[in-house]
Amino acid sequence: MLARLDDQGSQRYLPEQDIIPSINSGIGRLQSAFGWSLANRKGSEEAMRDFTRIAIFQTSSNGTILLADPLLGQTMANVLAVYPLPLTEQAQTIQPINNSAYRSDLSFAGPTTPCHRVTLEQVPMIQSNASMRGNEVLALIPSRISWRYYLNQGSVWLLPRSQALRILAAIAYIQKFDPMTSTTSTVDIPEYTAEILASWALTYIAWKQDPQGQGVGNLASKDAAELFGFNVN
Amino acid sequence: MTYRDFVDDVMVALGMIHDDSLWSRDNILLNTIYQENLLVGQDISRTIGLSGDGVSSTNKRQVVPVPVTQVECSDEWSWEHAYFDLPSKVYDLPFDGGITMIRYAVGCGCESSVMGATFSATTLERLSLMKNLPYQSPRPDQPYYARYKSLNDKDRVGLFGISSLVTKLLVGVYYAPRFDTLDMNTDMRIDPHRLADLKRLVLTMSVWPLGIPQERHKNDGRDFEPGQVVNTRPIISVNDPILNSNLTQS
Repeated sequence: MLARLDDQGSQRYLPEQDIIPSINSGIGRLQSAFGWSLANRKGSEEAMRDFTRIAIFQTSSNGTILLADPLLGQTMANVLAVYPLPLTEQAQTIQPINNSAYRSDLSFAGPTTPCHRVTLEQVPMIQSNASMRGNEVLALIPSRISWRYYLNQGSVWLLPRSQALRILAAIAYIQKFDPMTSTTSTVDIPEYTAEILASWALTYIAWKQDPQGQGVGNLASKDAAELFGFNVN
Repeated sequence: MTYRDFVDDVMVALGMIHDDSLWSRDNILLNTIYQENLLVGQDISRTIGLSGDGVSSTNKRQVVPVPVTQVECSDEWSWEHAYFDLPSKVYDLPFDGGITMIRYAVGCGCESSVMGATFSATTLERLSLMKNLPYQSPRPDQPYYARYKSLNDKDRVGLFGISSLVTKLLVGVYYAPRFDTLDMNTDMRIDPHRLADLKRLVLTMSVWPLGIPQERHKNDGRDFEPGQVVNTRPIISVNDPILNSNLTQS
């Protein structure tokens, strides 16, 4: 696409100033689109198989798992599932630490029990209600324990808390796409989204030609409104 | 069949197996216990009632040793007695048949001469009358028990006439399962030929609350379409086995 005039007045598109940010905007938009679809209907997990990971963690002494674990080496974009007490290929041990920890020494071999997500508002209703999953009333009976988790302050919190202290749990998550850093770096996205990404990146870069939203900006706005249901202007 | 097997079958029948299903095993288990108690209570009542000798229901009876607490001239009853608390609810059966027997246990601390003595059921009111009767008054070889509710709301069995040295007894009871302690992996109490009735009852209980979110789950409560009909409980015959357990006999 030939530029007429961008809003910085450079007469051309520059990689660091225009091209890379527009591609990264497209990547972020892809990530949002996937997150949006997962959150609404939990669909398209198959579409994200290239970026679905499962890692084993040890919960903290409070029954939580820090999602941004520095040792994990990846950033979690979406939590797909939490599996308390998973099967692992290796023999399981518990480390004598209070913080949650990514257990790179263990690999996931299968789940053992369901664990449903719950909202923050519902957490206090669950604790003493034996008819709700994650309650403490039945937590001491092995055949009756049921699990839930909620997300709070960048951590996964497991219920019932009394049984979640320093245990192993697996988290299935969508890996966050790494942004483009230079024109020679790799954009690590699903292959079938490359055309969409190129289209969106062009839309974003073209927007700069017209900061008042007179031309292609309207197209981008309409596109985002269709995808996410909100106005970007 | 274990409770887990039964509950999982109902969960599948109701479609409550997807990852955001509303009901969990414990919800269905509670309904199962409600209805199982109904049917098992019917069955035991039939076998120990006027037309039965109770033999065919002994597979549902539990025999458990219970520790005995001795009470020295309590304020409640003004004479010495002992008691134990029932760990779970006992079925309300004909002839107060929920407790089928109380015996001295081996090593309970009683004299060997009274080992075979049977405890007779009575009431606290009758005990007051019998206390001074020479042939009926409670004594170690002629002990009595009477049920009452303790001040701290326990299901208590008072024991009268037993030696103060007795520390434990053997009790046969028809316990109802407790929701808050039941192990999901234990076998169900109900007889196999009643499982179909039980499943029907549990599903029937489930239909009503399942209908509510679709039909009434609006804030203003005025969401009915014109002419919309609310599903009601199915009408059953008076001869249905769930009403008359004798019909299930072969």
